[in-house]
Amino acid sequence: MRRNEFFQLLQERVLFLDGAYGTEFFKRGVNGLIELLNIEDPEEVQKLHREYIEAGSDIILTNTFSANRLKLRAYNLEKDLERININAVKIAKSVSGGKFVFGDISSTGNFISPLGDLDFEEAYEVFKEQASLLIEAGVDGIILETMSDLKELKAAIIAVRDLSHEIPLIAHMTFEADGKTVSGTSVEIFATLMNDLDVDVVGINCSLEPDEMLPVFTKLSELSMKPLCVEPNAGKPILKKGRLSYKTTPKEFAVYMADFIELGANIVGGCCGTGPEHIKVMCKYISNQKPRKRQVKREQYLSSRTILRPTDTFLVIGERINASGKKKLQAKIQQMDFSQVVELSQLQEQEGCDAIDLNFGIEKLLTHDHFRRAIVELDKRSSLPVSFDIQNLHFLESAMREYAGRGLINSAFAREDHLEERIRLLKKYGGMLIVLAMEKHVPETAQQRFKIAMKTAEFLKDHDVDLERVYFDPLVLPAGAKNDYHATLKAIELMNRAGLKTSIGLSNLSFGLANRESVNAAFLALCIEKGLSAAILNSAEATTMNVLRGALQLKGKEPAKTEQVIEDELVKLIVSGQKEKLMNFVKDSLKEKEPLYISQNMLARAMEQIGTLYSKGIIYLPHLILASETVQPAFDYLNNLLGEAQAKLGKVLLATVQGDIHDIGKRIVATVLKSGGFEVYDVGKDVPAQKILSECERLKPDIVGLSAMMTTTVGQVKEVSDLLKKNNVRVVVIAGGASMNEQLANQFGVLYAKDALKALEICKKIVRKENER
Amino acid sequence: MVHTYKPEKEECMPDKRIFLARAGAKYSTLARDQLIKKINSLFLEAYDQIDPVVWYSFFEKSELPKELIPDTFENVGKITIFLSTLGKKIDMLIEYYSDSGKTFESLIIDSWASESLEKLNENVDRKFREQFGAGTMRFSPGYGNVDMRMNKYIVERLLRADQVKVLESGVMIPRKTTTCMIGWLSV
Repeated sequence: MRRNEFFQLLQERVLFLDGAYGTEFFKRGVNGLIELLNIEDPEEVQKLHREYIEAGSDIILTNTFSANRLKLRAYNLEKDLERININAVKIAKSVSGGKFVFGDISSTGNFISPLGDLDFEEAYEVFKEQASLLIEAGVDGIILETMSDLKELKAAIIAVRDLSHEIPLIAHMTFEADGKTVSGTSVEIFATLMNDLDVDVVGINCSLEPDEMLPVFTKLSELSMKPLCVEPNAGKPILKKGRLSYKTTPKEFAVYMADFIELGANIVGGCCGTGPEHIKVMCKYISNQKPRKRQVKREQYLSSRTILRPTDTFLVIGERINASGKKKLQAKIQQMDFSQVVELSQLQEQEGCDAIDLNFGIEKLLTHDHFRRAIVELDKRSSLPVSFDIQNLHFLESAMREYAGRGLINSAFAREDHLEERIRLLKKYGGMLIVLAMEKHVPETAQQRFKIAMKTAEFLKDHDVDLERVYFDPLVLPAGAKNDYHATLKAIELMNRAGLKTSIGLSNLSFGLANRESVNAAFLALCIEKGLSAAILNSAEATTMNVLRGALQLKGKEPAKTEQVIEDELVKLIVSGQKEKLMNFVKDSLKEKEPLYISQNMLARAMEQIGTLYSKGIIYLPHLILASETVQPAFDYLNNLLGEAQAKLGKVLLATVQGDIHDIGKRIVATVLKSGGFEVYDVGKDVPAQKILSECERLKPDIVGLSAMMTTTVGQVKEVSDLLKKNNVRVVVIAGGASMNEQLANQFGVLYAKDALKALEICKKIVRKENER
Repeated sequence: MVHTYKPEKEECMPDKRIFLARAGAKYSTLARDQLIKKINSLFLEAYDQIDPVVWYSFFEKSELPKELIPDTFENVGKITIFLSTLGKKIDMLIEYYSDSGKTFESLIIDSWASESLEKLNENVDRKFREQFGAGTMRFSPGYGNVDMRMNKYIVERLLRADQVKVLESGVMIPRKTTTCMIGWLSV
């Protein structure tokens, strides 16, 4: 199927996707990796495909959710990669009878750096390999599902599009009930980036049952300009007569799916727990409907992975990460030390910037790795959105490729060759663009600059670039060199009248002048009066920032609100990853206080506050991981002074249960528990119950923490728990992971921890109780 | 000969846009609101309480009293008369909410049930037409020239639907009950 045919179909009627495969096979008694069925029992796969088609599905997915190289490697099945994927397509097509077959691709099971160890390019290759097999085998489209890391999704999208511009592509993420992924990306950030990327449909699947997913989907429908797809779970798994089942009945599912259509869904289907009966009742109830027309908000946003900033009022871009003429900063950047870059980013955020300009200046002395690493370091600290002030096109591409968010290209000359390359990057990686109103030389008059801007606007429109994504820079020249600033003001006025957005590099004006701050502030006010939309400026200039606020207020506007600021200095230090400063702080404190006091009353309390900030959604998972990593060396240092016995709260053994290879969540738990004062032994993933028992007997932990991500493996939690009890191992078992829930934990006779912080809280309670005995 | 048919409950699931419009609400706005969860919960509660049954029979036009023949049935030969009901329990649910002062719930379920019955009639109508081809529009007593009180005749004499009571006014109990007729042009 070609993309235009798919698009046409999406306009005509709501399409039905199938339901789950993993949980459905599990219900039917299949254990282990379901993708193996493509080789070992194709009839079983064929049967389920057929049932979904008979139920009314217009699109069925290949049984390849986990069939990427990294996941198969974990099961020692790498050698079967090709057969599993190619057979899956053959099986689906053999029963499709004219219905569409989409190749199903999901996460590699690893987070890309900075959240995990996986390199962006490695993830890209893994996706490209799987997508290539599926496309060559003849799928009608590709669906990317259950992604919780925006960067990983981006790698997959780029990989698919590098293989084919013609294959229809659906891109999904999975969100928590608060509308954010576990890595802190909001549905708004997802929607606005996907508006730019070359995908045909965007959507949400898994994690949530229909009623929880509705508000998240509502946000998506308000911001997404792409057709929409949705696949909720059929509730949370519960244990019924010794088998796992899902509580959302087919009729309940159907009733809610109608709401998604009313909100504008073009494709509806089911995720975990849904089966052919759910799809049948849904298709029957919804029947043949035309997709609803949606009112989409047309605002423009810049974003990083976790921070979204609207640009419509006035965009403040911090200029201070500019290494030109700053020898120390240049040297640090060259040595891959980005601590000052990160620090400047954080400072500018506190000063009220919406984005930060990244200008390393000494590009000839740098490599691709410098730009990639800088982006990763900023991402690790959840920085503001980035303005890529990078001249070398290849470096610019490296930075944009690595970037998890919607950034700003600063800038393009108004020359076709220069513009074309940057338009290509905009289309591939998303974002906004600043265009200088000049070709080779700065035009002297406002009229000339305006004429260039208008010509460029036409060029951009001809290349399908929405002008709402573009700022035109009317050019600010140093007033000290006898340049007439009125030309800039007039150009802003003309561009503004023509409906173009404008942005200036403010500090150029006062270059070489005395009282720079006052001059900059005065000029900014004049520019705002003429309709300026954005400025790259020095936010450390209090006068400039105050005048900016005042000028906007007079125009009835206000700058975008900054998010809640962390006030506690120690918390701020830890959350921003300042290991060295924290260590200095600890050493200073030791002059007056005991190690135990610093450990328990200062660091542990700061970590508790960080936990609260995370629970309230003020900071996100990357912050939490970073904070735990930052505080760990300080704890270790204090523990050395204290001696182990006094230092550790208790011993925890962690494992991912047998059959399950996910361990990101477990590793996060390990990091948080360690930083919370526990001695942690991680015995790995895919660990049999018997091995957990023997490790318990050897290590004698106080607590066992089990992770089970999949419904097909969650039953192992009970097996482990029962085996430990049977062998009189006196430990408390805590379980977590996507497939666990409170009710299930009660049924299994274990405790439930929703996330790493809850695990820490429970562990602390357990050791407190033990100590009281 | 009178036949009875027990439809699947799914055949009675009403379109939300329509039943909410009956209740004076706009679905596209409600779908964005937290209230939709309450509506869905009432939808499912109502669904659980219905027990749909259809009685139907075919008659020559000539064997029916003139007062029962709609003017629009002039060119028909045979007539199908059918009665659909959602059963007693849905009436009880509406009354329960109404008596408890829960007017919102009562209104939503009442609208739901009316549209549910309409949905059932549409499905029955479609099935007959698939079998018999071209016919008149579906017609119910109380419209046009047929008095609503003819319901009594239909229920008691023609269909002998003993689970349905007809008051002198022609109102039927259970309340979510309708009688319908379709005249066939080529049968």
